[in-house]
Amino acid sequence: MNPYIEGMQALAPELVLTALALIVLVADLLTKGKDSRRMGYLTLAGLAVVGGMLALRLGEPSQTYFGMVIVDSFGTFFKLFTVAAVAVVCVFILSDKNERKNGIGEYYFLLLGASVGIFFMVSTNHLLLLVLGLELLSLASYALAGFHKGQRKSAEAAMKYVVFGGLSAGIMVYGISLLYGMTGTLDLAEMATLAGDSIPTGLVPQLYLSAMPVGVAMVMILAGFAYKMSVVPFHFWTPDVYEGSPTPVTTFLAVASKAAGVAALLRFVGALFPVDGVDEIIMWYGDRFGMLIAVLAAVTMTLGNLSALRQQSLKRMLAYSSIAHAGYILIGVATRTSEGFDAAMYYMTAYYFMNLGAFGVLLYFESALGSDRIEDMRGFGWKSPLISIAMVAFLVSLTGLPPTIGFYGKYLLFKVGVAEGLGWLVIVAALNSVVSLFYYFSVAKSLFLKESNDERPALSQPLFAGLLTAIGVLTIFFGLFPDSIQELVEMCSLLGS
Amino acid sequence: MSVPTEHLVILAGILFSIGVAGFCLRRNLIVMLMSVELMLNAANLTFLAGSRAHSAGGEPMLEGAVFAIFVIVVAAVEASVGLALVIALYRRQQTVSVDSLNQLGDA
Amino acid sequence: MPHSQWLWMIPAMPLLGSILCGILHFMTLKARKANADATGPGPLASLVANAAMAVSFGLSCLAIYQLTGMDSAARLLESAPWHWIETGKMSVDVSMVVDPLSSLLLLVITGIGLLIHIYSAGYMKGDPGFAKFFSYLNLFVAAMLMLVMSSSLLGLFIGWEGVGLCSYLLIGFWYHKGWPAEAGQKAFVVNRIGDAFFVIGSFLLIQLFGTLDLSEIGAGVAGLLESGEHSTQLMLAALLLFGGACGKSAQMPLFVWLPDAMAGPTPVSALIHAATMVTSGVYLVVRLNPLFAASPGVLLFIGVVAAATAFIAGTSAMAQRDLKGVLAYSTVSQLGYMFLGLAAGAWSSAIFHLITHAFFKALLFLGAGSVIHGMHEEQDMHKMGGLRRHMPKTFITFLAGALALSGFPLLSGFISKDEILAMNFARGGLHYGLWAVGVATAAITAFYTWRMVALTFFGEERFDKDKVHPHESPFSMTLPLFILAGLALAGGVLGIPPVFHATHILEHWLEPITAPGNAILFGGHPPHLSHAVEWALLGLGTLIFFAFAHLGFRGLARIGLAGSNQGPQFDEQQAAKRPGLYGKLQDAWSIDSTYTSWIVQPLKLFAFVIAVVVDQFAVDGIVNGAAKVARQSAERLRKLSDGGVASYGLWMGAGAILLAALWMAGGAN
Repeated sequence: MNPYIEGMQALAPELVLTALALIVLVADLLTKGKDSRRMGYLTLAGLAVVGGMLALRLGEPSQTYFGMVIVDSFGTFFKLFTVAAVAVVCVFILSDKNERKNGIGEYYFLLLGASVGIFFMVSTNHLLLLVLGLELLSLASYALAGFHKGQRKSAEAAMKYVVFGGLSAGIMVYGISLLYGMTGTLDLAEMATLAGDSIPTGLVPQLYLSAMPVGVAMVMILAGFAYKMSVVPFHFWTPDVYEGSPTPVTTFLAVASKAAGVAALLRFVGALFPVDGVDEIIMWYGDRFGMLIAVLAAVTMTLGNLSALRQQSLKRMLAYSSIAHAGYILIGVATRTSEGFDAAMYYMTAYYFMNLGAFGVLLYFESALGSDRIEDMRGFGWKSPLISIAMVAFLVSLTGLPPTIGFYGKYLLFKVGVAEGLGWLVIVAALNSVVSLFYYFSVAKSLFLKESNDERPALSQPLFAGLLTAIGVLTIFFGLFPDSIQELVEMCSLLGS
Repeated sequence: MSVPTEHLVILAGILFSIGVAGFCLRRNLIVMLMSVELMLNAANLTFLAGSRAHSAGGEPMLEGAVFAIFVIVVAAVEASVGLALVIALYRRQQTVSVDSLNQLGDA
Repeated sequence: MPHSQWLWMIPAMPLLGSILCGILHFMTLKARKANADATGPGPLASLVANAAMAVSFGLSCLAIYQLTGMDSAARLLESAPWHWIETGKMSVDVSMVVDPLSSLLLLVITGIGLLIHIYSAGYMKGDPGFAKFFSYLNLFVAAMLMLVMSSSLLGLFIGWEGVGLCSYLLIGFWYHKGWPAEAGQKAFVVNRIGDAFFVIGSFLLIQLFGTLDLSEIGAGVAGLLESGEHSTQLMLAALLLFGGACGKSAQMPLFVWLPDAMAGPTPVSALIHAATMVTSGVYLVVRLNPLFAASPGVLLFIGVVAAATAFIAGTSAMAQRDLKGVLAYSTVSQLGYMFLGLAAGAWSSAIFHLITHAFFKALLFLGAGSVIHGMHEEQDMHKMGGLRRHMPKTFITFLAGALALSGFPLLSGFISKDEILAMNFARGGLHYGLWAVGVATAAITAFYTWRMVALTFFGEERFDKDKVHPHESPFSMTLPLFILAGLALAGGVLGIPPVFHATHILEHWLEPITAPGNAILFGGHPPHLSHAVEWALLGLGTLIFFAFAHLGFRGLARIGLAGSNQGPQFDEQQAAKRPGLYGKLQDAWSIDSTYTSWIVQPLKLFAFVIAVVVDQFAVDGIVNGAAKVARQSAERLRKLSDGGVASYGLWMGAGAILLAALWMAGGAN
C-alpha cells in the first residue's frame, strides 16, 4: 500500500481529533456561540469515537510513520488517558455554573487543540515533532489559562504562563539546537546509535570527545520537560497559573499537560540513556543523568510538600501537591529501567484518577461556596456526603495510603527505587508522604470534623456528583484490584520487559 | 570563503545569553517577550550552523534548516499570543510592567 | 487443608454494620434537616451494630471450637488468599488466618467488643451522633480484626492504620467541645511517628526475607541466624517494629497521647484505649517472636523502656484527680507490664496479661463511665465520694475490677502479673533490675487503685446534692459490668501458676506460636523457678497488695497524713507541701510539656523559619544580593524585582547551572 495512505490510517485518531476541533470551532461560529452546551456534547461524542479508535489499537506492535511519528502502545496509553481526562474536563465545564456563563465553544476548541499537541508529543522520538507538539499544547494552554479574560487573576495567570513558557521553550529549543549541532541528527533513536567518523555524529562519539557541551544541552532540554511537569526549580509558574486559571483548565494543566511532559521525558530518557546501553560511556553518563533526575525528584517532592503545608487555598494546595507528585514520578524515571518506567506509568494512572477527582471536588466547592479556602469548607462533608467521601478517597490516595490506587502506585515506585539503588530517594519520598499526610488530612478534617457555620445548601448536580463518585470508587477499586491496570501498563511498556 | 562554524555557534551563544539576561533583568513584558525571541533566534542560528557543518561531507543535511523554519513559525505564534495578553493587560492597568502581575502568589 | 472462606465474614460483618450505621446517620441528618426535632432512624444503629458484633462473636467461637478439634501442632484455619500484589519475584497474598494466637485475640475483640457495644447503646442514648458513633465503633472492630487475622504484614498494616484512624475519629467524637479534637490530633500525630518506624521496619523485612507473610518471616529468622548473616539488619528491623509498637501501645516516649485520648466517650476508652487497640503492639511482638528472640539486645532495650513506662505512668496515676485520668495512666503502666513480659521472653505471659487486663480494665472504664454518667458528666474524684450507696451495682463490679487490677491474690490480675515478674526473676542478671521496678510498680498500682476506689465510692459525699442526683445506670449498662466482673475475677484460671500443679491452659494453647521464639532465645524451654521461690514471689505479691492497698485506701488517714476524709485533703496537703513534685506527677513527669517546649515549639519555629526566613529572606535576599552584585559590575543593570517574575527566571537559571555542574561533577572519564 502507499506508505502515505498507510500513515494517514495510522494517524486516524489524530486526524479525527483535529477535524473535531475544527468542526467545533466552525459550528460555534455558525451558531454565534448561542448554544455552547451542544458544543460540549459534540466534543464528548467525538472524544468517545477517538477513545474507541485508540482502545482498538492497544497492544499492536510499534510502527514508525513519515520517519517521525511512532504509533505504539506506550503512546496509545497516554492518548487514551488524555482523551478520558479531556472528557472529564468537558463534563466539569458543562456542569459548572460559572463556566456556563463564560463557556463558549472556543473552550472545547482549545482543549481539543491542546490534545492534538499532546497526541503528537507522546508519539515521537523526533525532536522537531516533539517541539511542535509541545508548542501546540502550550499555545492552547496559554489561551485556556486566560479564558476568563474579564478576571484579573485569569489574565495574570495567562501572562505569567506565556512569559515562563516562552522562556522554557527558548531554553529547550536552544538546547536541542546545540544537541543537533553536535550529533547531526534530531531523531533520538538515531542519535543513540549513530557512530560517525570524521565529524562526530551520534551521541557516543560526542560524549567521548567532550561531555560538557552535551551536558549543557541535555540540561537545557531537561529544563523544557521539567517545565511541563512542574519540577523544581522550573515550577514557579505552577501555583500562580493553577490558581488563576479557571478550575477546569487547571485540571487539564495538572493532569493531561503534565502527563504529556512525563511521557515525552520517558521517551527521551528511554531512547538516549537506557540502563543497558550499548556503550560504556552511555552507561557512565546515563548514571549521571539518572542521578540528576533523582536529585530533581528529591528537591521537587520536598519543596512541593513543604510549600503545600501552609496553603489555605485548596486550589493552591493541590497545585503544590501536583508539584510533589511530579517528584514521585521522577523516581521511576531516574531508575531508567523498564520496571521503573512501568512504575512511573502506573503512578501516572493513579495520578489521573486522584487528581481528576480532587480538582472536580474543588470545582464543586467553588460553585457551592464561592471560595476555595479550606477553612470555608468546614462541616461541608455532612451536607454533601457523597462528594466529600469521594474526596476523602482521593486524599487518602494522594497521601499514598492503602487501599487506594495511589498506595499501589507509590508501592511500585518505592520498590523499584530500592531495587535500583535509590534507597535514599525512597526514604526522602517516604518522609515526604508523611509530611503530605498533614495537609491532605487537614482537608478531610475540615470537611467532617468541624462545625459548619455556613448556611448555604449543597448543590444538586447529579451528573457531576455521579462522575466524581465513580472516580472515587475506581480509585479504591484499582487499589484493591490493581492487576488490570498493571496488565495494561505492562502491555504498553515503553522499554518492553 | 565562508564564516567558520565556530563563529556562528559563538555568536548564537552570545545572542542566547543576551536573551536570558534580558529576560531576567528587564521588567517590561514586551522586552521580556523580545528576549525570548532572541533566544529562539539564537537556536535558529545554531540549527543552521549545524545543518551546514553536517552537510559539508556530501549529501546535504537539511533537518536543522527545516527546524529553524518551524521555530520561526512557533516564535511568531508565541509572540502574537503574548502580545495579545500584554495589550489586554495594558488596557486594564495602563502598564506593561511585570510587577503589575502581583495578584497571585503566596501571601 | 481446605480453605475456610467464611473467616472473611468475621471482619466483614462489622464492616457491613459500619456502612449500614453510616447510612442510618445520613438518613438521620436528612430527617433532622426537614424537622429539627425528628429523631430519624438513628436509634436503629445500635441494633445493627450489636447484631454485627454478635454474628462476629459467634463466628469467632466457631473458629475456636474448630481449632480445639485439631491436633495441637496443626491448629490453623486459613481462608483462600487474596492475591493483592503480584509483581515479578514478590507477591503479596493476604488471607485470614485463625491460629491459637489470633483466636485468643478474636475472642477478646469480639467478646469484649460485643459487651461494650451493648453498654454503648445505653451510654450514648440521645447523643445526636448516635448512629455515627456505632458506625465508627464497628469500623474500628473490623480494622482490629483485620489486624489480628491477617496472614501478611501488609494486611496487618491496613488494620493498624485503620484502627488508628478510628481511634482518631472517636477521640475527637465530641469535637465541638474543642479539646477532644486536639486530643485526637495529638494521638494521630504521635501515632504517625510510630508508624514511620513500622513502615521502615517492614521495608527492611521485605529486603531480608522477600516476603511480607508473617509465618514465613517467622520461619525465616532461624535460617538467617544459622547463616550468621544480616544480624544487624535483623536487630534493626526488630528495633524499628518495636518503635511502631511504642506508638500504638503507648510506651515511652510516645505514650503522651493515651491520657489525652480519654477525651473520647468512655466506651471508646474501654474498648480502644484499654482492651484492644493499644495492645496491638504486644500482639505484633508475639506474632514475630522469633525476630525479637533473635536480638536479645533489643529485648533488653524493650525491657528498659517498658520498666520506665510502667513506673512513670504508675506514679503519675497516683496524683490524678480525674477518674479516667487514673485509669488512663494505669493502662499505660499495665501496657508497660506486658512489654516487660515480652522482654523476658515470656510471650504467653504477656498475652495472658493482655487478656486479663482487657477484662478488668474494660470493666473499670465501663464502671467509670457509669459513675460519670450517673454524676452528670463529672470526672473529678474530689467532687465524688460515697457513691456506693447510690450506685450499688456499679460499686460492686468496680470493686471486682479494682481487686483484679491491684492484684488481690488469685484474681486474674494477680496471677498474670506474677507470671511476668516471676519470668523476669527467673532470667536473672539485668532482669533482676526489671523485676525490682516491676514489683515497685505493683505496689504503686495497689496504692492508686485503692485511692481511686476510696475517693469515688467511700467517704463523704462531696458533690452538690441539690444539683447532682447520682443514679444507677440502666440495665443495658450494668449487664456488661457484671459479665466483665465475672471474667475479671475468674480469668486467672487460664493460667494457674505451676505451684498448683494444674495445666497452664494458655501457655499450652500458645505453644505452637511461642515455640520458635523460645527455641531461639532459650534453646528450648524457658527457665523455670523452683517451687520454693515461686511461693516466695507469690507471697511477696500478696504482701505488697495488702500493704499498699491499705495505704491507698485508709492508711493515709491512719498515719495522720490526712483528716477524717480520705483523699482530697491529702492531695491538697501534698500539693501544698511539694508543689513541684506533685505538679510533675500530675503532668506525667512533665514529659508532655517537655515535648511542647523541646519539639513542638521548635517545629513551629522551624515552620516559621521556612515560611519567613527562607522565603522572604533567603529567596529574596539571595536574589537581591545578586542584584547588588550585578549593579556594581555593570552600570546599566536594573534593580531586580523582589520575588517577582524576574527572580523566578534567575532561579530557573541557577537551577539549570547547578544541574549542569552536577553533570560534570566528578569529571568525565
